[in-house]
Amino acid sequence: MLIGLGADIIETERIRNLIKRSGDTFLNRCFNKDEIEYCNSKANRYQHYAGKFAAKEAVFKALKTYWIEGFKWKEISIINDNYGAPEARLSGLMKERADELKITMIHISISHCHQYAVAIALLTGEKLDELH
Amino acid sequence: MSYTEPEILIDLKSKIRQFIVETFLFGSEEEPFGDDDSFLEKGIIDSTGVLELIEYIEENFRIKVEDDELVPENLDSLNNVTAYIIGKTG
Repeated sequence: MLIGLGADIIETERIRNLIKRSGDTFLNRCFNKDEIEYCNSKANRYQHYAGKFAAKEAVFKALKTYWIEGFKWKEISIINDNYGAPEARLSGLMKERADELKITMIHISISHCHQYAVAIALLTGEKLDELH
Repeated sequence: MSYTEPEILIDLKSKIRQFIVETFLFGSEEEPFGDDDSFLEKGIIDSTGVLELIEYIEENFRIKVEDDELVPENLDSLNNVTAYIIGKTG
């Protein structure tokens, strides 16, 4: 059963600028160690950071969390399986929110080109009455 | 001329407003926003913009924004940002 759907698009240049200007401060605020290692292992690391950031934003939207609850980028970890497919792992308040909604699966899709990264998050689970 | 606190406040707000207009509104204030208007609700900045605003604050006012300070009460209006910076800089 569909519980939530979120999409996000981000200019790679904005993420690149944040990394170049803020360096570790920005990275450590938004990304976990595994995410940083994965992105830094890529030749086009800014595109990968942008893709993961867009995916986190898409999950925020799908979970219907808003700024009033604070931004918890690191509580949504976008990791890649052995085939490179992205998966979302939640912790802290984001996991609590997902548990409240009885979400059993988070489907993530990310794509990027030179200028933009786009991501979609689809949440499925058992219950529909929290959707509205 | 003495530099009174309200003038400092006005100057600070003006600098932040200028940054927001130039960075997020393409330098145009055709749709002016009030000092108490929510940046997110008004569609002035998105969550990435919040990070850009934080970077601007940290760089220009030499303060460290802690993760638990990333809340609307500190960052989601011109007045909130101004009060936050004044509070952090003493």
